[in-house]
Parts: sequence; structure tokens; C-alpha cells
Amino acid sequence: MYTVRSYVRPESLNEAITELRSGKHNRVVGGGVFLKMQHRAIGKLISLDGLGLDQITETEDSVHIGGAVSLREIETNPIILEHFPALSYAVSQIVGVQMRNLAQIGASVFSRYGFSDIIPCLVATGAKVKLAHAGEFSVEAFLTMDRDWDILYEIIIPKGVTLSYDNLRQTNGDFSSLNLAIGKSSDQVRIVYGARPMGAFLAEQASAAAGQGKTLEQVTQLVKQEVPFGTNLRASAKYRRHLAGVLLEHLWEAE
Amino acid sequence: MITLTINGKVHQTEVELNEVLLDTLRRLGYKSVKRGCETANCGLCTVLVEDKPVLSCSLLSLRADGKSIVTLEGVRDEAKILGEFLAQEGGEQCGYCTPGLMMNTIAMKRELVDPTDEEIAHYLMGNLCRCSGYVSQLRAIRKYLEV
Repeated sequence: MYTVRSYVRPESLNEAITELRSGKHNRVVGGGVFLKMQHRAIGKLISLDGLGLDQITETEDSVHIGGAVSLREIETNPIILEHFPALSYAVSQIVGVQMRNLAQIGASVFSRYGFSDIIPCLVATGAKVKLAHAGEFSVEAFLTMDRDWDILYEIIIPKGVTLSYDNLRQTNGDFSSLNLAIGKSSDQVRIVYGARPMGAFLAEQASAAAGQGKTLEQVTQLVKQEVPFGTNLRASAKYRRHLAGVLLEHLWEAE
Repeated sequence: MITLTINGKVHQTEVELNEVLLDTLRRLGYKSVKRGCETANCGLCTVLVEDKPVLSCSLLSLRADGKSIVTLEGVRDEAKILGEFLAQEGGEQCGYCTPGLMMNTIAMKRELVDPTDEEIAHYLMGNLCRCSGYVSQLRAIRKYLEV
């Protein structure tokens, strides 16, 4: 369990980022589900509950998700269901309703968990994140940048992308042994594997080949060549490499 | 000092900065809320916060300040009906998971209209039971939903 010196509930994003950056041991609390399992000494614990970041809205060309939107809201929200039903499905596979009512997308994405089911979907759509200090970045750029002492307060997903998603879990509610998200727009295909068990990986060669109309066998071959897979308790690298082709075939045939 | 409205009764209480709602509720006498895995997996500690089922082991008490909370003590009538169906169908053996299962089932009944067996199983995915195998629980829950 962690310890906390003080708890603050800022009234504005500016106030929140100022509080966060005022000490190196300060932390933002999102859903708090994983934070509570950590053993660390926190200076200020900063809640974003008062910032109104729990809204999903849309414009003509994009969907905007506030950083404090719960995973359950993403699962059931009419805007998400209309434009990205596969994202709703991906989120619905995570643990249980009670946990999804607590966990928030901003914290989930900011933490860049390797097992994430959400991040591959966002990369596949070409989504962007807005950070209070550093600014706006594509999700794949965000995955490799220095992002400490910042606040992810909004996710922007462009419309016009058809998203599909599949995964394999050993049991319901477990982390994915491997997941796959594919985003298709008028000009490109983006094939993204997650839970490899490392973080989301955009298969650029395979995506380009799929966009050029290559066959499933050709695209699968490229996936197996370019996507690094690893071994952990849930699956071996060899099994994941095989599974990558199976998931791709599922989504390919579903179209 | 935080203010919690628990089963309609207003409580004002001091909490530690890292205290979770599970501990606060039990300290205030709501002993139906059980401690299980404490890793957000088993669903045993489920309570309703603003009518939504959440894991009280994972919610900071400070973040529940000003919120309405319902525990099993606050839904006795519904729990009695569900409990009788669970007993009739052999839906529990050790009974340890039952408080959390009941809370989430009651939340599901309020939220879903005429759910299928698959939808029931999916909604209750976050409630683990190591005795029943879930089939007898599903029979009991089906009967409860028809009441």
C-alpha cells in the first residue's frame, strides 16, 4: 500500500498540472485500481474529479473522450457505440463491471500498460492524446516519449476509421494473451498488436501490404517477421507468433 | 472530514489519506461489505456508489466524499428474495462471495432490461465463486429477474 502526505482536488487543469509538477513524488490518481497495489511514498495525491473530464463529445470529424471517463462509460456510451463499437467491445472484456466503473481511460492510457486492450485500438484509429504540459501527440508517439509529471486530459479519435478488434484470453476477465486491433480508413490500414506482452506495436509493413490489397497469407508473413513477441506466464513468444496469424485471420474473415 | 450518505443515513467521518471505502464502511458498522482479494478481481467488496456497482477495496474514501452509497444492509428486501432463490438452487456453498454477487446482481437488475444468459454472465464476470461453478447461481438469478 502507498502512503500519502496530502490530497488535493484542483478546480482547473492549470492548477492540477502546477500541483503535480511542484514535487517529484506527486502523483495523479485516476481510477486508483492499480495505484493501490503499489508500494510507494506519494507526496501530493491529485484527484481530477473536479475538472469535468468525464464527458464524451463529438464534432463533425472526431470523437473526444475526457481523461476521467470511466471504462464502463466507454463501453455503453452511444457515441462510442455508433462510431467505434469495437472499442466498446474491447473495453467490455476488461475484468468486471465494478472495476470498469472505477478505472478511467486517461490513467489507463497514460500508464502505457503492456497488457492494455485500449491502446492498440487507439493506435489503430490514429487517435491523439492531449497532455496538459507537453501538448498534443499521436498515441504511438506518446507511447515512446518521456511523459512523467504530466496529465492526459483528452483523447481524440478521428471519425471515418472502421475499427475491428479481437483477443485471446485464458479466462474471462484475465489480461489478453494477445490482442489485435485493425483500423481502416479511405487511405490506409493500421494493424496493431498488443499484450505481446510488451506494449502496442504498429506493424507498418503488414499494414502497408494490407492497404495495397495483398493476400492474408502475405500480410500474415509480414506480421510474423516484423512484430516482436515475448514470453511471460500467459503465453510463449512462439505461441503468440502463431496466435497473431489466427487473430488476423479472424478479423480478415469478419470483413 | 468527509460526508457519506450510506443507505440513506448521513455519516461524517475522518479518514486516512490512503484509506479505501471498504475500510471506512466496515469501521462504520456496515459489515456486509467483505474483504476479498483486494486486487480488484473477486467482486466481493461490491457496493453501489451513485447507483453504480464499484469495488470498495479500490475506491479512495476521500473520492467518495459527498456521494450516495448503498450496501447490502440497504437492500435487505431485494437481497432476501435473491437469497431464497440462491438457497433453493444450491447457488452457494461457502457463501463467501454472496454479498458481492447480490450487490452486483441487484445493480444488474436495475440496469439491464430482460438480459440473456450471456449478458448476465458478462455483467457478473467480476464476481468470482470457487464453489458453485456458476450454473446454479445463474438458475437462481434467472428466477430473481422474473420477480
